[in-house]
Amino acid sequence: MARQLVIVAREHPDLYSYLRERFAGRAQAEVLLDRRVGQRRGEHVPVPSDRRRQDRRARPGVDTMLRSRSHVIVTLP
Amino acid sequence: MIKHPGKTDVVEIRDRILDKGVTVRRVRDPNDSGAPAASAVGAGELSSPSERAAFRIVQKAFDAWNDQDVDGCTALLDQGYVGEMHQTASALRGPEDARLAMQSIRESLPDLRLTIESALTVGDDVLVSWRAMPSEVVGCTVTRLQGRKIAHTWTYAPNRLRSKATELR
Repeated sequence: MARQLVIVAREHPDLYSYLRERFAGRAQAEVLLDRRVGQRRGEHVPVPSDRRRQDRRARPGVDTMLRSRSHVIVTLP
Repeated sequence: MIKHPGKTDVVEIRDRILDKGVTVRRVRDPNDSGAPAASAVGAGELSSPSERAAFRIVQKAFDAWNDQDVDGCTALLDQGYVGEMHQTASALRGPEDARLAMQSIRESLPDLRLTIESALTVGDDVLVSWRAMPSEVVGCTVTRLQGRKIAHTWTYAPNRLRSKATELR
């Protein structure tokens, strides 16, 4: 069964609290607060060898959406 | 008492999960240049028949609102309906209370349309993310169903829309 995540932007703690309580104990859905601050790879500082093969943020759309809205609903595979 | 699942670190969880291919529950009309389509999320995206049925009831309420069908919207409400809005002390109680509020909002904001952008159904609870047009304000509503009626709603909206709605009550 697919699980669903509701990721709430950090600027909306009231929404996070409400949804967290509302969906408490429901295995199908999890409510998370996005605590990430900015793009850690924003600065392009040359390094001799970057061990990170790829940006793990494979879905930058989520980040983009969270900048303009209070939350994003995603479905896990 | 809120139960906390084992993993709560969104950075780790999200990074790990996104690598596996998460689907963002947000659908737009491919023929649309930017404006969201009405009822953009289809019930087909929800997995179980009961989820789809629950979502359809909420979708009907949004459609009735957009059609300016206050009676149709009211008919979906349970007799014990309670409508709450974030940071608003007073709640709507009963279908008639809701009808008066809807009529007031419709008269003051006749162009207001709500587009469902994404949805999640868990049991009898339906979370709907919406966009209000033409203001482009985004918000969400959590609806609890009882039988096939809407028993409770909790709406979270940014200040602009909320102030307008509450001053109309």
